[in-house]
Amino acid sequence: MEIIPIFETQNQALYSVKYPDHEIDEFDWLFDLWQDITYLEVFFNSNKSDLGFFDPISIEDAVMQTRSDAKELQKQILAIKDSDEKNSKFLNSHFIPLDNITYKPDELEKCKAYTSIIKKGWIRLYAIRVPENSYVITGGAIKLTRTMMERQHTQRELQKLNNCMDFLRSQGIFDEAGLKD
Amino acid sequence: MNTAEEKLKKIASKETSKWVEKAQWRVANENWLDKSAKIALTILRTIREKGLTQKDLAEKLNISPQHINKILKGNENLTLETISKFEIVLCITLMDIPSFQTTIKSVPEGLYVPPAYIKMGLPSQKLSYKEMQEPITCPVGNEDSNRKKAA
Repeated sequence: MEIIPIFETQNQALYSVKYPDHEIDEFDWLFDLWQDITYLEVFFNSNKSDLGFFDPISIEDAVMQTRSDAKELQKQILAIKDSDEKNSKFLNSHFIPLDNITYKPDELEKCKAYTSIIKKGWIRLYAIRVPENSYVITGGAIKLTRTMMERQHTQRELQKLNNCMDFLRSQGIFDEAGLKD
Repeated sequence: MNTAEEKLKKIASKETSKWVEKAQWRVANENWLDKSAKIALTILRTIREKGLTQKDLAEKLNISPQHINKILKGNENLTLETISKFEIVLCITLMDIPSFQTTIKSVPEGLYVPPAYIKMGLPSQKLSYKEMQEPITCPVGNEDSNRKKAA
């Protein structure tokens, strides 16, 4: 497992995990995937029963909505990267703790990202926050169910979060007292 | 940055992700990428409805399955020729170009107007926006006699 920088500024940084069997990092790969119409059409065709969880929506609209949400998320992250002191934008405003864990500084947290502007959106980025302002993306998913345990592809993302936490621990990133899962 | 962040920076790869570069390219090319995605989705839904595979489509179009696969991802800058081939083979419309609707009302006497401009509007006429909205008609005469008058 490698940690690849997406961007680093003075105040914050975004990284992504790169798995040994993948050519590119997870973050880069996810945005390729969410723009890939063949992948999205097959995904929604295979998971069309889960589309009822949201308002009724056709497969065509689900594909185009996902692509559009990914484009919006992409723009927001680029804006954070390019923000300056006068116009500060922060990664912290995009990530909320996973499993509704209470936010406590200096704790290792599993976090997920979602686009705050897009309501009812289903694309998710999963990341581990390294306090205060650094995030390591471990993966992402199209989450159509209420909980991550309900589907295999979202369950797998939980496993990836845990694997990354183990890796960061093994690298001595979190050796301060008070570390919690 | 605090200690944990500094440690993270230290273990991170020296090589940066290509994401920023790719994202900026996608933003700059958003307009045609949107069209490419819609075309890809229409093709994919049509072949699913018709029970065709991408391989069948490749054979019908006489192009490689790898090329079809690339087009159907929705990130290809397609030529009009390629789009037309898909339209013919699948009997669908992927692009609809609006027809010209402008007609010329009058032309100064003695001015030769090439037939193409009769359809498209005179390039040298400076008209206000309001004037441009008014329909104009042109009594299309014999092209040769117009040319003789201009001479």
